[in-house]
Amino acid sequence: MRNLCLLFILLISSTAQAFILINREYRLANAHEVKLQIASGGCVANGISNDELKGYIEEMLDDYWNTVTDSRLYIKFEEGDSGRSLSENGLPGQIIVGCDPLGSSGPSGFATRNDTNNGCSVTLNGTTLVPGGFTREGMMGLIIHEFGHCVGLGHSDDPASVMTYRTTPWVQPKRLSRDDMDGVAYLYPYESKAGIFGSCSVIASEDAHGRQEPFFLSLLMGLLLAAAIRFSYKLGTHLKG
Amino acid sequence: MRAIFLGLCLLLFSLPAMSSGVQVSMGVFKNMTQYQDKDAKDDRDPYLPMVDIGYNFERVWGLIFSPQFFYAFGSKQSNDSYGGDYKVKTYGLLYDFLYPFNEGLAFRFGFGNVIKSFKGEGGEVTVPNGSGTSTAYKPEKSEKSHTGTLNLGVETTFPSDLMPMMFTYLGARAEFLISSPLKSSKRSSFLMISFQGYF
Repeated sequence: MRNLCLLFILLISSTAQAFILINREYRLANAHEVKLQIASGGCVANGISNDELKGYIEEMLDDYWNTVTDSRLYIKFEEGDSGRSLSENGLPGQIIVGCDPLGSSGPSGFATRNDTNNGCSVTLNGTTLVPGGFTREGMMGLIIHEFGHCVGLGHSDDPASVMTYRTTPWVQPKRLSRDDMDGVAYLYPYESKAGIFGSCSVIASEDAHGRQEPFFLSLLMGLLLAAAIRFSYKLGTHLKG
Repeated sequence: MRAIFLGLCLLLFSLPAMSSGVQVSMGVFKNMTQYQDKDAKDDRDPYLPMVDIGYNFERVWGLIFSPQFFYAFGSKQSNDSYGGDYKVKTYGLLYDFLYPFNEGLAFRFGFGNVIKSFKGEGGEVTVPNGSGTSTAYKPEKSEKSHTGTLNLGVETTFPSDLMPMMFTYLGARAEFLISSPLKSSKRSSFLMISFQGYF
């Protein structure tokens, strides 16, 4: 009995995670299809081709920020130069990325959110990101972290989180942490009106009062299905009789 | 909306149950999504205690419609001194069908809607940023995320000789809820294992 009680306490005990937001209201626009493009010039002047930068970005999207199962956030890389400079920032629902010299003692990179149009830009330090000056794992760690700021997450002191504030060299995380995933789901939840179909359906907007009732719609659909089955059964029994 | 819902509930559950019935389950619920722990190793959520209530309708065309509502108990505390505690509730509706192989064994399949609700303690916090600091925010308002699932599992039932006064049948169930089945990058799953009693 004592072991059972201990097991129960272990089961209901809390795990240790949290997430923090960079801004209360900021969300990327068109979260179910955010466009990501390379800014004018990209990092070509640093000796990093657009194809190489694209390789880092696609890995970051496929293995990290696009993997959160209970979030509608989906960032899609679009080929070609965006035609926008980093200082112009992204259009609504657009993230642009490129390099700019920030000095040898400057940050490795930073994200600039446009709180007006809900776009974002990621600036990588063109002074230090030169061939031979960085590792692949370091570059991955950096862009995963900076894109986390574009998504809307702030710094964490949980070492599991990709949003950990680092003073040490960048390393590539294995995956997002539970904290990171919950943060993305909190910022960009699925809000499907036809809640039964959840992620398989379109993303519906809120009604005029900002209310969502997918749960009751789900219940209603289930009950209608049940009523149809019960009616079929009654009809079948009646016909046999 | 709620009036229609209540009306349908009354209509359905006031009809005689025949071979069907109300079913109550207790068990565990596990989110199988992998994430990184503080040692940069793979980790998963712990098993959470779960309760489930459902109703089995009459068999039609060889199938028994078996809708379920479940609730998994669990909350989160902070490992991050900036973020603070936040609560996560997981519950959902499953629209399953049972395909009985024989008297005691059935294949369970269907679709569902798993809902995760997040609520933090709110407030501002100062975090390091570059060479200085900046203001950041703890999650405050409640948010719910609805995820569609494809459900596959097995269920076994047997006459309740142990507790005949309470249940007509007892049983056990194991079921996988596959979330985002149509989107490979987001696909994940939940596991439910429970013991159940039929009234």
